[in-house]
Amino acid sequence: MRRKIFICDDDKNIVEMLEMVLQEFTEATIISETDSRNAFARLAIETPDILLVDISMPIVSGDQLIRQIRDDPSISAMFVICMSANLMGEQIAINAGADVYLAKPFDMSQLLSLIAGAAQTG
Amino acid sequence: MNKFSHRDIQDIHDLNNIPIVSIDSTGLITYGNSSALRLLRIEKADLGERNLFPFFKETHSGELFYQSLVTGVPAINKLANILVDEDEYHVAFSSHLIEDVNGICLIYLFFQNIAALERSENLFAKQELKFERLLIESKERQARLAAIVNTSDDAIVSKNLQGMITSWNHAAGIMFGHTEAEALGKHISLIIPPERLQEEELIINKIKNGERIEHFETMRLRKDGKQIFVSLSISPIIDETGKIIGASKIARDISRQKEFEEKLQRYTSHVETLNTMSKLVSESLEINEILQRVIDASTKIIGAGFGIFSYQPRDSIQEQQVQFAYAGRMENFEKSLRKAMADDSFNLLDLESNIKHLAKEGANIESFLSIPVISKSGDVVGQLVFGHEDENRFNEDHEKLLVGIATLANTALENATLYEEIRSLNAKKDEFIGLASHELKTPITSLKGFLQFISMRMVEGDSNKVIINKALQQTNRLSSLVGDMLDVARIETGHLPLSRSSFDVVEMVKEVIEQTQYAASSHLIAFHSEKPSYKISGDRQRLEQVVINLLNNAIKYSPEANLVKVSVLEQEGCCVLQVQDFGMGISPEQQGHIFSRFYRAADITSNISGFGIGLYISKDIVDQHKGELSVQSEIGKGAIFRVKIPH
Repeated sequence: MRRKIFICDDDKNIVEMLEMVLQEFTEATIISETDSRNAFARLAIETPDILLVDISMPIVSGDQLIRQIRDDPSISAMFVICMSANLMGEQIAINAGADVYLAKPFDMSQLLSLIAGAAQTG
Repeated sequence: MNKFSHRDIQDIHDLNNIPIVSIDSTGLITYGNSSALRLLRIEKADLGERNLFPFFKETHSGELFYQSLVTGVPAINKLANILVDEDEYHVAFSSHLIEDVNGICLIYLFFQNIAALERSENLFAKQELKFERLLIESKERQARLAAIVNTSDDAIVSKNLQGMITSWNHAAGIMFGHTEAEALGKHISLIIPPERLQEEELIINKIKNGERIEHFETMRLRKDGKQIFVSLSISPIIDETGKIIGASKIARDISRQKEFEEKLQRYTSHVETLNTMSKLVSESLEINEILQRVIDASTKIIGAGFGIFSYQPRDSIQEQQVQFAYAGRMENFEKSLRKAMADDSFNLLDLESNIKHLAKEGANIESFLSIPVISKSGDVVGQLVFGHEDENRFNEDHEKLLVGIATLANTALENATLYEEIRSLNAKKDEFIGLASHELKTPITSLKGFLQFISMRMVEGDSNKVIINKALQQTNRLSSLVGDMLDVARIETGHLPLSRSSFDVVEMVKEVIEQTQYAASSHLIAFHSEKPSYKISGDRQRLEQVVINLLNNAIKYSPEANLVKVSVLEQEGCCVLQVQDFGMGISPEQQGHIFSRFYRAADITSNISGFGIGLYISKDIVDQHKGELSVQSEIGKGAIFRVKIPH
């Protein structure tokens, strides 16, 4: 079964770039959302395997979203890759419950190997 | 008729020291006592043989004799000259006819050698003359001294050892108000203020010891009760036997001198105060602190009950409220003041009238002093206001001093204001840098992603792939520059965090060298380590940053060379990493500057790019590890950068 990767970032360019890279270099289905207010609802419906989310988003921030996810047993098992341009990003991400942290700007190869690794651990 | 015989009479005369002879009617010397025999140089055996008349030099003396012989009238102190052998004696003789019990008459003569008498008389006369002369001289001297004493402007007073006044000159009368008649015979305590009476005992004791007292400054009492400043010089009065019988005192009125001294003292203390104040305020660059220090010190110095310093600078970039500081001990006043300020009816800019208003409302201020603080541009930017419960507490001197203080304070405040502006601007700048660099990371992420996408889709022979990779390198560079800017801003605000872990320094350095060598084909990076692995505790990522920075610098600043040496060793319990290049070197002067923010070596060609903040950040990272980053270099001989980190 094809895996699903959900991308959530308020910056359209980042989303576009990530979609391109992931579609080209992974076998997964790619879904994206730029408005974090819609994210939780969509996540509940789509139940992706991997969530790639940015911390700094307006109204609902990345870490808030992660907490919501972890509180919901139906989707709490999701593998979360949290990214940020923020200096304190790593701390915030881990505290919120992310599995992995990526500091922007990051290498695409790094992202791809993380995703591959997640697949192995399921 | 006499009861005695001549024999008896002569026995008596033997006892007499005065030359006495007896002669008969013919002048024959029938008797002579030892003095007479000595005088006339006659042997006792010759008595009865010699006549007295030849002894007399002049016949007229002989006649005198004869007269007395015949008349029997006694001669008294008649003068005559007698000749004994060759010697002449001037004598006075007295003669007396005595008839003894046997009826025999003899004339007794008494001689007195008056040469000695005359001599002593002369002497006496001379002495008398001398004494008279001395007396005249003494009187003249006395008169002179008296004149000096009486015309002197200084009070000259003498007293005996009991302290009774024995002389009182004209000036003393004027100085102390008592006339001579009033002062003579009174005790000296007449002019001594009660609280200083013990001085008299001290003085008398010194005088009794024969000591002088010179320029003793004290106060004495006038008849009208006023006290005056005097300088006393006192010496013992010694009589002709050398005994101390009293003291002579000269008193000089030194009130004017005292006044000058006091003025000088006040002036000096003003200068000192301003000096101290200047130091006090120059130590601070914070407006509030300066206000408080100045008002605390000046309130104390002028002895005010309270002091307020209000300040509002005009042309500052920031909109500032009026700031103020309070000092003082008038608690009730302070309460009403703060209450009035809280009520918002209080205008700090118009302290003077507001405080006067408060004063009317029973804050009990009777003395008031207000000094404006004027900026260099001539505007009134503040006020120093002082008050006191008593009247007339503040005078011109206080005002002068405070004007000086206000000027000092203004300078310090202007500096502090500028400093605060700079600090604020600096903080804003750092904030901006932080924000900007944060924002820049997002488009860099996309850029990198897109480029990597293209690169990854291309095959290894594709000429475009090479170019795309070059583009990617540049985005990496862009990314690290942005990261550096961010780090700088973080260092400034003190927020460069370290996360410690235990890692192998040798392994880390090897990795960094590998990455760097890959990008830099111009130089060979040679690595040497004492130990194959070396575990330390620190922030691996940050220390990596340091190594990368040092390596990049080494390569950048030695374009002519082709070798960079890196070594890791242990020294004094610390991990030491050295990066050595063989380039142009760094002068001692520049060595002092290279670790500061934004420093760029002046004589470097503009080919070498970069912000120059690498070393600044590296130093901060090493410092945070409690280590040392140092350089050893000479112009033309390359440089060795040394990182020393305790385990």
